[in-house]
Parts: sequence; structure tokens; C-alpha cells
Amino acid sequence: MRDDSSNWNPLQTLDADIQTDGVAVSKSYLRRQTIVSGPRVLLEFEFALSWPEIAKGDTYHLSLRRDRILAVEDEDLGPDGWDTKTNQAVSDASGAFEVFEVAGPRARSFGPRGRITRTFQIGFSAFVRV
Amino acid sequence: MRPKRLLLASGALDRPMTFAMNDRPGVMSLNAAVEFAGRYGVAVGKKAMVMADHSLSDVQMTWLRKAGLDVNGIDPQNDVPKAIGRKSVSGLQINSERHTCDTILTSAGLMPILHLWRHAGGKLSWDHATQAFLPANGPSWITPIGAAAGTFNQEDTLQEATALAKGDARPPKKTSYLAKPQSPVLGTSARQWIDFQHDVTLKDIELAAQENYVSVEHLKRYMTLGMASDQGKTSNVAGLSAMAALQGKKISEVGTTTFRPPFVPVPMEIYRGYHTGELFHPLKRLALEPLHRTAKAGLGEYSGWLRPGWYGSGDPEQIAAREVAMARNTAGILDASPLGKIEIIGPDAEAFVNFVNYNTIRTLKPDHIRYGFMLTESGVVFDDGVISRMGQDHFVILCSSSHVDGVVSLLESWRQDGHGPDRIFVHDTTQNWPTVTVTGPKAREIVRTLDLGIELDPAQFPHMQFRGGKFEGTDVRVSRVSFTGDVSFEISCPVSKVVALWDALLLAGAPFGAGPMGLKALSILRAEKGYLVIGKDTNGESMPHYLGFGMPRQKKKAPFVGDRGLHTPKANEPNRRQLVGLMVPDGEPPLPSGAHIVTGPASNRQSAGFVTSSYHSPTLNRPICMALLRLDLSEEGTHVDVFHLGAVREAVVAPACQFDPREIA
Repeated sequence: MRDDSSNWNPLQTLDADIQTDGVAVSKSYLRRQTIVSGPRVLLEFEFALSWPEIAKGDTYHLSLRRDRILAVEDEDLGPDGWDTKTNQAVSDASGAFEVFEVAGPRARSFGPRGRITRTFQIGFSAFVRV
Repeated sequence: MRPKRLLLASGALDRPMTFAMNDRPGVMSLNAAVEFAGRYGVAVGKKAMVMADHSLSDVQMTWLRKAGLDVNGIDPQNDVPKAIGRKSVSGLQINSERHTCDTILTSAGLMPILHLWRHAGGKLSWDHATQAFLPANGPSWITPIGAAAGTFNQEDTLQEATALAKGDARPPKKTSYLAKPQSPVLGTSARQWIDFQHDVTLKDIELAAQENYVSVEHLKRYMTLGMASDQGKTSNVAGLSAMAALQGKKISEVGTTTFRPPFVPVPMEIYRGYHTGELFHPLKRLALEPLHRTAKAGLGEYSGWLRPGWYGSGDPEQIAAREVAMARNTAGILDASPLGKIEIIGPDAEAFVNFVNYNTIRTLKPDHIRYGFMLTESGVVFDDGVISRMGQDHFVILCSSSHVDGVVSLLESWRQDGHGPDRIFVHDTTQNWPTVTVTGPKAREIVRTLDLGIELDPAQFPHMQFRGGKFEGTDVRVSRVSFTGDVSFEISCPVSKVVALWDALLLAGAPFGAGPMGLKALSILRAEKGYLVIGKDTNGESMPHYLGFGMPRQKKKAPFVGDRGLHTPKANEPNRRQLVGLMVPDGEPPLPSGAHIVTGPASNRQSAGFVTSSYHSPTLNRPICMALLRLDLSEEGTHVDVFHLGAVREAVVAPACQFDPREIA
């Protein structure tokens, strides 16, 4: 096993909010996130959101797939395991996801912008003239 | 920018003529010579011979003469012309007659550049009059004009461009362009180059045809014709022409290969995108990483995570030996967070977990844990781990760190195939439950200081059981499982508590002489006990009974994944490789990992197996080794030869477990 400590920068944490170009990014500190799966979960949580809907309020539910949601700050869900009353599988996921709030008039462009190729920077393989 | 309508004026290229020694410096395209003269005022030579068979060549030769070149045209008729000269052209030989020159300019016709047209979905049709592929049907938003559309005269091109830009119909051409068919002369011994970049000659294409690679797609791949960086711009039509001549067909009947982007060389970074630096191959990062760095841990990639290999500065081997001794004498504290924690929940969870595991899980009681294998359908070991029963219909599979994603996929696959997917759910909660393991004879005393609200005595909390507890008021999951052979507690807690848990355990361990240990030490500790690592001590053929786990194969009645594969002739072959231990004579170093155990004389050695894990054991103060070895050689005490890099060493077959085979208390 090789020591690759120096190949990887130390973990960075978002200590201060990022404000740039119509977008503000800040870290959210949530108490509870829960994965809930079940055959009727999207009927039970009919207001589960998906992209690009906007969550309102502190408690909301995200649709992950046809039989799964991520409940955010929902304290009414039961303990981990199978809930025989609702026919739902419940697992704590409070620490499974880091959550960031992205706000501002250009918030929707934040995701795609993160994937833009820096085409006109000088690269190792070739120089692109502009 | 996406225009609604596009005029494509991509021009045309000269098609090189195929003749003997046509790769000599001084042989070049007629059109290129005209470009040099007209655009840059450069004469490409002094005395040029021109072989061109189209109606523009006379005009082009006139331009070259105006530029000061001595230009003479010649028709090769049915002979194979030959360029004379080695490092440069000194003449052209046709019909046994030698023509002195320093430049040979050729053109077998102009080829419209239609790559972009084809990328956009446009079709091509072969035009006999111009001996070129011209644009046919295509998308309505793109319109080729000028040379790209077979209009080679400048005045015609300007009129055409103006009309089409206004939306008018394409005007008729005032001048016609004609080219004579150019077929290569076959069956000669001369070196006639077709693809100048990939060195494909006419003879190569004749060979391809002889071997029945007559489809242009096969020809391209067999000869790499047109696959160089010019993407066939100079070679494809010459190659098609040759294949057509060989088959007695027209070029249009031979067809073209697929035109693929890019048209021009593209910087690799366009494809590389953001996959640079740390984003090239991102690793998962531990919540405790900052603490590991503070403790000067050597961090390495292991199972897709950046994990501590050892703690402190100095020789990693010596540090690992100290950490092993610490774990055997007091306790080692390990960040085991990447350990898989996959929850199986639902009314059919018990039957499902029993089905996907080789070992019987149906009889597992709540709060109990069982070791097990997951197999492929062919019976080969896919992963191992422990299964913890949290409740009647709630299980947690704690699988190998490196196999979490694979196990989740496998479970999802079986869940949706042959089971009630509405009655079983698979949740990967690995990221939610970082784990700290305390292992060693003092582990119980150290964990006791945390006051988890769990009775830790072995009578109340025996090995292979699970308990839920509280750490600083937060739920934690404590498993009594061991990968070292000593008393161990695996404590999984919420991410928000793991730093406090780690600090508390180090603080509690310090008075005992316990401290953090890395994966290097863990690898030795587990090898001393003969505990295997899937993928290291197994290979793509290893079945559980090769590894000493034959009972479920004989006794388990319920169906399980891999059952049928375990009863095939392959599963019962007499020379299958068993997991064994190996010992070397006193004073010798460890055997190299990967070394082969061999049989037969030096002139005809045969491999009978190989070393899978090999270390110096600080506990036993001698080398320990695990190997996969042919069944007939695997009896304890058998002497074997181990071959590595030309040297042969002796070893004796021993139990895989070489340290303290007693059960864990």
C-alpha cells in the first residue's frame, strides 16, 4: 500500500457561503433525512418533488424513483425497518447526504455550469487558438 | 449557436493518383501546388510533371506556369507510372520512358468534402461524370454549395451561393467539370501507396480481397485504411477504387464507410472535460480523514476510499508490525467506515436474504449475526460478509468495503427477478453509518468506558451478536464480529457523532496502550487467522467448498443463488484449487505474493496454484502465507516447490489459520 496522502488535497468544508454571478450556495444543516421505499410511496407522499420543482417549507419529500422517496426533516416517520401499517421500508439517511442550498436568479444554471469544459484554457495535449 | 439554415461550403480535396513509389518527397497534389502558388506565392518545384485527368487541370497548369514553374502534362494511359528518386523526386518513368523533373503533381479528380454533410445525416451518390461522391438527399436545413456540391468553377459557385442564400433555386452551371475514371493497374509488384499515413498499398488491398475482406467496412478494419489522423481524406476513394477494380464493380456498388466525427483533430482535453486532477478518479472520503491526517496517517486508495494504511512517520512495514503487536496485546482502533451496510427490509426479506446467501440465514434469530458468502449463478464466490438480523423483516448485510456497489446491484437484480419487488427493499446505508472497530484483548474494557447502555460481558453479548446502544444520547449499532480473531466491537454511529466516538475510543484506549491502526496491520492480523479477502485469496473460479465452506452445499435445502453451479462437473473436478496455508523453512523470508506452486521437471514446469497473501507475522515472528493449491497437493505437511522469477523455494502445506485456532470468546 502506497502513501498517497499528498495526491489528494485535505477535505474541504464549505465554511462560508459562496456568492457569485446570481447564485448563492450555502450548506444546509438538517436534523433528519429518511429513505422510504414502498409500493405506494408516491401515492402516500403525493407532493414528493422532482427536478425542477421547488421545495417550500422546512419539511419536504423528494421523489427518488417510482418506489422510493427521501424525506427531509420529517419527524413523523417510524423507526428503521418495515412499517406494517404503511407497507413501507424506512432507513435513517441523516448523514448519508451533504445538502447545499442553491439560491438566486441564476440558481438553475448552477448544475450545468459545474460541468462546463474549459475549452479555451491551454491544456496538456493541445493549444486552442481563440 | 444553432442556425435555422446552413450553407455548407466545405470545398473539395484532390484525390491522389495511385502509381509506383507515389510516396516519394516531391509527389504532391496538383491543387496543393496551385494553392501554394496562388495563395502564398511559393513554387513547389522547378520542373514539374503533371498527371491529372479532369477538365480543370489545364487551367491549373496555366496558373502554375504563370508562377514560373516549368510544367508538362502527361497521360499515363494504361501503364503504371513510377516516381524515380529515393529522398527526392528526380524523374517520372512512363512506358519505359524517363522524364526528368523534381516535382510530380497528380490529381485523379476533385472529391467534395462531405464529412459534415454525412454527420448531419445527408446521403451521398456516386456521380460518374465527375468521378466523385456528391450530396444526395439530406436534411432540409443544410445545403452544400460550391465544390462541396460538385460546382468547381468560381463564377458558378458565386452565383450558386448567392441564389441559395436568398432562398432561390440552385442555378444551372455555366461550365461543366468532367473527370476520367481512374482505376489502378492491378497485379504488379510495384509499391503503389493508397493510405500514406497508415502505409496501405495497392498490394495490401489485393491481399484483403484475396482473403475475402471485400466489404469496405471489413477492408477498413483489416488494413486500417483511412483510420489515421486524416480519417481517409486522401485515401478512402483511392481504396474504394481499388476494391471496385478488384471485384469488377463500380465504385457506387462498393459503397463507403461511415463518416465519423471529428472532421479535424480535436484536443484531447475536449473529451477529458472536467475529469482532471482529483476529479479524474474521485475517491470516497472518510468523515474521519482530517483526524487521520493530523495523526500522520499514510493514506492510500483501498476499495474506492482514501483510507489510512498506517499511522505515523517512518517505515510503513515497521509501523504495521507495531500496530499488529498493539492489537494482539491490547487493542487496535480502526476506521472501518467503508464496510458495507446494506439494509434488506420487507415481509419477504428473510426468504430473500436466505436465497441470495450460500449460508442458511432463515434460522438466524433477531440480534444475531452470521457469516456468509454470496455466489454468482455459476457458484463462484462473489463476496463474503456478515448478515445481521435487526428484526423479523429487517436485515443488514455487512459486505466487503470494495464490493458495496456490486452487492447492491446484485441484490437489486435478484429483487426484481423472481421475487416480489413490492415486498423487499434494498437500502444502501453505508454512507450513513461510519464505523469504528475496537479489536484486541482489551477491546471490551475500552468500549465499556463509552457507557453505551449495553451489557458487554461475553455471556450477555456473545460473539456474532448485535446490540443497539446510545453514545452521547444518539443511537449506535454495535456488532460483535471480528476480522482479526480477537474480541472485536464494530460500532456504527451517525456521521455527526463519529469524530466524538473516535476521540472517545482513543482516549479510553490510551491507558491500555491501545491506539489507531491502519489497513496494513489489519491485513496481517486477518492473514494470521486465515481469514480470506474475496478477490485476493479467491479468483474467478473459487467456489465456497474450495475455501473450506462445504456444508451448505451438502445440507441447505432451500434454493439459493449458485446452487446448481456447485454441482456441475467443474465444481467437482479433482484438480480444483483449495485454500491452504504455506510455511517456509526457518529463517527464510516470506514467499512473494503471486508466486506459483509448481510441479514437474525444470524443463516442463506446471502451475499447481499460487500464493494469494503473504506477510511476515509479527505475532508468530515468521512468515505466513495463504495460497490456492491443487486439491491433490493440499494435504497438510505436503512439501511443494514455489517458483518465482527463476528461483525455486521450498514450502510445506499448513492450515490457512496459523495463529490461535480457538473460538473467539
